[in-house]
Amino acid sequence: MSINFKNELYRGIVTENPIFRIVLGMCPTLATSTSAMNALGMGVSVIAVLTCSNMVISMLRNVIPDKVRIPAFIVVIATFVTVVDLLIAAFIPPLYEALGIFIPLIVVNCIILGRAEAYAAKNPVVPSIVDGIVMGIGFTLSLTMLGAMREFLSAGMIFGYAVAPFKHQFILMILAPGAFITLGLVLAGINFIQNKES
Amino acid sequence: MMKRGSSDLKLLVVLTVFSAVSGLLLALVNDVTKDRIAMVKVIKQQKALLEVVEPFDTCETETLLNDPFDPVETFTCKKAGAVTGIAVKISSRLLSGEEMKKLNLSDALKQPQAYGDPIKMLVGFSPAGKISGISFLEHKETPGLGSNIEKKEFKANYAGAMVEGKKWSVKKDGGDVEQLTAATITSRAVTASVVKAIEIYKNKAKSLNIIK
Repeated sequence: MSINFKNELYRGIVTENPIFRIVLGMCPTLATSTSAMNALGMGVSVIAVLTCSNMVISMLRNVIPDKVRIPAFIVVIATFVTVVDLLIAAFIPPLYEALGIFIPLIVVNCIILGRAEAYAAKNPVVPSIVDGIVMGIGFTLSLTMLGAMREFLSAGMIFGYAVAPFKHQFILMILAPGAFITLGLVLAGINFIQNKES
Repeated sequence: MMKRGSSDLKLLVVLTVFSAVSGLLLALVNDVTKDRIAMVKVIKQQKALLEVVEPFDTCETETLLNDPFDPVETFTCKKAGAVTGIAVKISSRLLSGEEMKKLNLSDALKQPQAYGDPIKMLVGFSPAGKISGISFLEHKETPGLGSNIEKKEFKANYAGAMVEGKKWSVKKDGGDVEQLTAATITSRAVTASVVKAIEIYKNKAKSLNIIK
């Protein structure tokens, strides 16, 4: 079967956007969107893990009995994340310096389990890998956008560069309430646009 | 599609096999990586040592507390026989589990613990009693909040200051250390560890007759 990557990408970023449409993985979303750089780091880690976990789950989909699929998925994902964590720490130390703090957060990311359950368990390997990539990209773009907004609102910077015409500090936006406020406003905006269209 | 109506025995077998394979895989990867991870940590510590003390030829290591997780060590660094600096490796977990149990709850809550795992750091001192540098070896603080301890502005609270020249507690507690916004717990943990490191440095320096 052939896969139209463009359509799939549109699905991952727009129609089935993990953060803004499926609204999964809120814990890391709220926690790591404090700055654009943190968000990007988390996003890249998720793309890697999601793609690989989708691949493994899809390969095992005919072996796993329906009744115990959730515990089996969790074992696969937790093992996978730990293996990746150890391998990066041992062989790519600079990458570990940058992304190490995000990796344990990935285990609790519902998107990984969500895609395993909703997609990889029902589809062949190649489409599952593509699903992992596009969903990961959708997650990364949305998270980076939220991170950039919060960084801008709290300190007038994006990716650590001052972009605001004046210097200010608005601590609330970098704290937990800022995460909820930003996410809430963006979701409201998206719903508003969608309702207008339909 | 997944098969439906499998027997209970099959469920048992599948989950057992999954867990066994997972355990085996983890043990295998741990075995392959543990030496390299230890090596990476040693290299990182060497780099940190160069950062926090004046240039040296050799460093003598002394282990004060041989805890497998949080060893406390001093490094006496020398160049051509003269001491150029003393570095103290310490973590923010200052009390062992046994010691914590002896405290009542309100005192236990006041103990400086980091937000994530203990923060491991290297604090360097010059022979004249100045903190010559601070470097964080390991920490699991929240990205964007507690992780800001790595920033120069926060390290400047300690690096360059005389040991006796500051009130070593965060401003919220009446001291001179500028705490990180929204990461007071982390700032307290680092400051308390530095206080402990100063104590260890003083003992070491006295034993070497550098200070009285």
